Amino acid sequence: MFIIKEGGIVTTVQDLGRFGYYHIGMPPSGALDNYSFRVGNILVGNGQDMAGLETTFLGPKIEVSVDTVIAITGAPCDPKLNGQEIPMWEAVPVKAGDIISFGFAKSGARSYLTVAGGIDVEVKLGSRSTYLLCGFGGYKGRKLVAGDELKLGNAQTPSQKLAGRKVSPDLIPQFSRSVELRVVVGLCNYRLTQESQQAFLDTQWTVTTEADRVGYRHRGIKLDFNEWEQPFGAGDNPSNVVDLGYPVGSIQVPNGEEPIILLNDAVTGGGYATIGTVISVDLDVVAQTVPNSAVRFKAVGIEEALTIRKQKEAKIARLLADLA
Amino acid sequence: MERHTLPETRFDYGGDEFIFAEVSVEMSLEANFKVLAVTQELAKQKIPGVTEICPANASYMVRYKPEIIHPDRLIEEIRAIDRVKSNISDLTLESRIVEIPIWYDDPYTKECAAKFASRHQDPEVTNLEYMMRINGFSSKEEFIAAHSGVPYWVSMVGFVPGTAWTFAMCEQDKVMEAPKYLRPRTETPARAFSHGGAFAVIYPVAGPGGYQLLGMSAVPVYDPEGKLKDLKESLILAKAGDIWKYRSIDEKEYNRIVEQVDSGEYRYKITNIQFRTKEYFANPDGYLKELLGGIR
Repeated sequence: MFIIKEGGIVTTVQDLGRFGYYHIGMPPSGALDNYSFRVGNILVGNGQDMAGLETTFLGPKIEVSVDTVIAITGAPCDPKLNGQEIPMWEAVPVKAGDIISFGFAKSGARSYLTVAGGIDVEVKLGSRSTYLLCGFGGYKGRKLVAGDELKLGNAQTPSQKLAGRKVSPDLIPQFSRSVELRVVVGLCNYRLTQESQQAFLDTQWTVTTEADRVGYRHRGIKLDFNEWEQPFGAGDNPSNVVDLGYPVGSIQVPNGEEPIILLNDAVTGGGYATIGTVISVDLDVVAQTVPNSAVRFKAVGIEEALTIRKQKEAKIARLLADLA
Repeated sequence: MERHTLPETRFDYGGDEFIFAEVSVEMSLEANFKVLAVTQELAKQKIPGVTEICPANASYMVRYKPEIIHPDRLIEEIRAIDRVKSNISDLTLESRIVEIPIWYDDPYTKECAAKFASRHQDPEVTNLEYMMRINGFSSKEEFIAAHSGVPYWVSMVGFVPGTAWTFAMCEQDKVMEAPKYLRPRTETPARAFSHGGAFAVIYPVAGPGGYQLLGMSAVPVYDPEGKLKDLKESLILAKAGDIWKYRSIDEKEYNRIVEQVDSGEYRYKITNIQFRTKEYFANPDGYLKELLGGIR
């Protein structure tokens, strides 16, 4: 069991997400930094889709009630075991009564705590992920607070085999306050003027404080939409369209101000024109971006997006081979 | 009935995991009929690699795993179905008729609207009175009779779990419209019945919102705990392609139904039907009357 002593800022139970219910308005949820989370699970011998904890800026303080193995990945956060520093990106044995604690993230925003056997909360609609907005899934549908007790699953690999497994340094991502996000431009971007389509790519945007699991909002310039007669049912504002589905990672610009990237807990559809989609690999980067970071958007084609995706999967495959 | 002709569907990539298909930029029942025909057929075909099929008002979206199917091949497969289903004059859609009891002009939504009056176009009147005026009604009774008199088509489900966009099934010039709040409210009661743009919507959960508040639904549209028998499997009431009939009720009946919902005994009035666009276009009012005859 994990006994929560302090909840941290926003700590939630997540797995790879809940699929097959987007059409009822249920977003996938799931770990925002997919790569760091999967690496964490691999380190402790779990299936990649088992549940762990996602922290935000400041992680929880946890008492462990059994001997097991944990790993901490994602944003560097000075994790400690009984007050002694422990390495990240490495499987670390823990004993009953040990206290795991976290410092404030030094770079990046989200760290992952995985444990052999995974966090065993009830599976709801095929997933253990927490959907905070509607209080669904995870542990009581909410972030963790002091006093919560999380059951752990049965470890799939004996602890002595796991201890000390680590990730080779070149497979550990670096988190920066100045990032480039690759975007497949399209969807309703034709609604923007030619100049604004270009300006979107030329502008250095700043991440605002409205940045959470639902979406990230960016400050910069105003974008203009083409003058046209709004189609029936679309609404009056030129940034409105007849309500449509939003891809995860899609970017919308309500009223031409402050582009929003939708993430795993976002609304599944609505009436704002979408102008492109951040490629899935770079959603991991968004997840680790902190307010006031500089963001640039770079247009890529679908083939390039698929190539980058393959490179990420090749890294995971390499890690699996390293640890086999 | 005059019919909209639909352009060729436009396909685009939503990053490396989604395909977006725009049937029309404009809302119409015709566009939505096609969206549903294509997505219902797509669901039947079970194309390997497809993980989500999401119909919207005049567009649809498919999520897929590019490791299993290349997006361009998937677009070609979808396009083939899309073309077959382009003849909207003779489609058969799986549908249901669902009755939703609504207490129009209730005190709960009026209180909420009063609290956020400063964000409204006309703070002096209730949202219902405002909507009456801009749609040319002078009598509350006549407005409620007109608003609840037509059946509504569930053209899209999404936003948060259970939200259904419902669109009046009548001539386009008779579809009532209402602007959204100037600035959205930060609160709306769960089950509030509202109207925004050309759509009537019930709020599944309490939360922010910008639609005009007209009343309260006595029955929930989202049941995360699965307390009600009819929502146990789906958790939500709406299915794209449903026909919803809002029935105006009074306070007494509202309280009686809410009690049945709270005790878990309430059963929704749902009738499964096949909706035939050919019969609908030939005689919309007569066909709807015939379909609705089954429930009242």
